[in-house]
Amino acid sequence: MAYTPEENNQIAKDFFETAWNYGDFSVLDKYLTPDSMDYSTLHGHPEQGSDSFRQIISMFRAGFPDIHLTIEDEIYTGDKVVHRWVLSGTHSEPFMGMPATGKQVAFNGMTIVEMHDGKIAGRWSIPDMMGLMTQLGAVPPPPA
Amino acid sequence: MTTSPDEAKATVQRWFHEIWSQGDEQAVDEVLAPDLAFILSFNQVNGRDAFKRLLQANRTAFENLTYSANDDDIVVESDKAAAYWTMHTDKHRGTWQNIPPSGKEASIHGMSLFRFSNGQISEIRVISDFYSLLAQIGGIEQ
Repeated sequence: MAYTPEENNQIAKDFFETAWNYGDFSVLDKYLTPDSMDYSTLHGHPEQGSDSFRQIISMFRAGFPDIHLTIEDEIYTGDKVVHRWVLSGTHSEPFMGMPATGKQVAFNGMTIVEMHDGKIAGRWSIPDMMGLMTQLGAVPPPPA
Repeated sequence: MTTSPDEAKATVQRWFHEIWSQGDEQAVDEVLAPDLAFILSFNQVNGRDAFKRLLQANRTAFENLTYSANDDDIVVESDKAAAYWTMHTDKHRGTWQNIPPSGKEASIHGMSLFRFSNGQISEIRVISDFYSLLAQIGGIEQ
């Protein structure tokens, strides 16, 4: 059964929103292919499975308990889905070695997924880390 | 008038090859709408003239600046496209973002979202590993 691009998009949205906004990792088994590849891991090397993804989400949900993913733009065609998103939340717990600042952050990112038969076979993600780090006060903003 | 997917991909490739990797200003005039908006994390550049200045400033600061995206990594739907790209420079040779030339080689990944208007690119939104680039050229300690 072939999935339409619209169906692929709904699956991808469900996957990311459920994982990020509820910390519900049941979607990992539900929506990832057995050999699903993550091309945007914490350590920078492509990795099979979802360990890095779980780690990232857990880290953010711990440091920003009210973290919320909002998908702002969607492009879907063939077997690919692209989302432009915003992650927003309050830095109310320690995060990446930084004690809680209480700051409200909102940073952008984009993610591409490749779908096979209604499941995610590959994921690439670019978060705006510079945006996040400057909002946390960890680095100065770049010159205007 | 909607751009066809093949035309859109070809136009996006011109953005990476002719505009960014070659600094071809004629390509800028052909490919980019006059009122283009180039939206970065900390900056927005409007119009071709301002864009050309940014383009040349970056190509001056970074030796052999190259951007590339595989055709498979360009996704087109109607008047929008997205691309996953790689940037590379042989050498950070000029002051950039107040960071003095480090002489370092650097490369990062990023994604861009394009909007088309009358066959030209009218908007580009960029999300990139800017943080990693700054770390590679000594602008921040990671």
